[in-house]
Amino acid sequence: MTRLNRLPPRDLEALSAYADGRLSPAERQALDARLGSDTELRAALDQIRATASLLRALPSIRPPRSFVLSPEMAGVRRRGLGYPALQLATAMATLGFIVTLGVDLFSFSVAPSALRAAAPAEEMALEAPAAQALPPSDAAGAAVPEAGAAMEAVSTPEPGAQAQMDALQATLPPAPTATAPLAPTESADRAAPALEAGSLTAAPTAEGASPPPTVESGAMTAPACEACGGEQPLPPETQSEKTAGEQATPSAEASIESSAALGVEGETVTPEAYALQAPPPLEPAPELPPAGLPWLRWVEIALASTAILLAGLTIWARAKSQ
Amino acid sequence: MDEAELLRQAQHGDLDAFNTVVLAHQTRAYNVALRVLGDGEAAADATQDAFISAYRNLRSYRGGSFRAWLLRIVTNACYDELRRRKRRPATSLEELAPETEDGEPEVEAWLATRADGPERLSERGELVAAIQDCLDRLPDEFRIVAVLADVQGCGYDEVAQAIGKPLGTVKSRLARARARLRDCLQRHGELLPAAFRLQGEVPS
Repeated sequence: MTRLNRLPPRDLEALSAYADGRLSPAERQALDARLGSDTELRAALDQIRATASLLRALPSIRPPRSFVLSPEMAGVRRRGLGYPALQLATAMATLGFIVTLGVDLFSFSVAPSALRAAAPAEEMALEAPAAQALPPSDAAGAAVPEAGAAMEAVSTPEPGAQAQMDALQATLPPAPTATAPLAPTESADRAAPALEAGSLTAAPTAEGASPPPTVESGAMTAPACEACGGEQPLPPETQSEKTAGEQATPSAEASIESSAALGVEGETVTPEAYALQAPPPLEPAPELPPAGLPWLRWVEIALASTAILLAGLTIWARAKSQ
Repeated sequence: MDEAELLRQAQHGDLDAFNTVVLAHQTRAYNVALRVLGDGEAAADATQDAFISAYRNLRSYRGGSFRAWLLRIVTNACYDELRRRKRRPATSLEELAPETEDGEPEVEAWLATRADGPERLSERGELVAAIQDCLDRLPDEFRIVAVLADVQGCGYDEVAQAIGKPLGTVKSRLARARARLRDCLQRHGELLPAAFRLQGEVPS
């Protein structure tokens, strides 16, 4: 019996290619001549042909299932990106909620001491009225985040705004005082000394009023960062403070301009930041804190429901991807 | 709609168009994997992996024979499975059982075998099992060539494209695979068709 494996490899390859009709005409002619005389070679060729036809006769098996792709199979990569994004969003919303809640609770416990801290500052200098006069316009800018609204709040003969104008005309250093009420309640203790410093130094040199504003912005940094977990709301506020400081000319237009700028900047500030600005529980504006606190409640509710919704979506996305 | 147009749409993200192409090629792809792996379940997994991979890499298909392009992906999926097995060589004998007994033959094949009667059906099943057994004994790279060229009837060029090797390699591997298969099948002499047996017996 012929053992195909005993054939020289070259002959085996030639016979195999011959069986498939893959030899060049010259090669084919040469092999034809040998096949005519060599019976063993002819038998080997027959075996190769028989083997190939046996394999070709293997039945085609119907697949056990269809291999059509589902959208999940086709889009695994896209969901792979969406899942971490959902996780991050859930974490951010939860963090936002916790921080807002913390600020809300904290402002309640600190409010009395802030009032106490504000009282001596009021007594100390002429700027005190200005310090208290700005919150109304500022709060107006926050509640209605439009520059126009802020302008109106300042230009209309509101008692607060009038007091501010008077103060500005009467005293030289409006910059530090203008910024003082911006500091949230918990920094009121730190704001009070700043007020002092401003009233002492800014009076002779209006342009040199830069040190107090920097102190102010330092005081601002901590709560703003806490509230939003990011530094977006910070630059507008510090900038508006600076512009207020630079334009420390004793004119009412300057203050209108600066408060208008505050109003404009207020548009870009996140809700949490509004909430922070809104409740200045200072004595001359006792009707404002109740209006400011529900804001914080709404933000809390919105953040909590967003966090719950996102968490649900995240769990759903993970269950679907497995 | 012709295949080229369907593939163009699939390349632009039309999954339905791609699935139409899948339906046209899945039986061949599955049978290649089945004969290379000798195991229906592993073959189904490899085929599914191959189609997923084909869809994701569809942009790298730039015309030409889609069948050959797809066969290359199927071949690679089979190689992946074979590598997995070598790392974890716990293949049970049941997994290598003949496919026709649990799998369903194509309609014509099924009708043909039924017409042969129960005895012939069983004999045929044994012959298929014997051929698969001999295929399984081949080295991987020989088996893939034998399956593509002889079981599937692909041309040398298509096989070369599918395994990513030159024509000469295809020719030599196919010749050796056939020689080994012939020697292996000789041991199952009683199952083989009369013509095959006669040819084997003439020289002895």
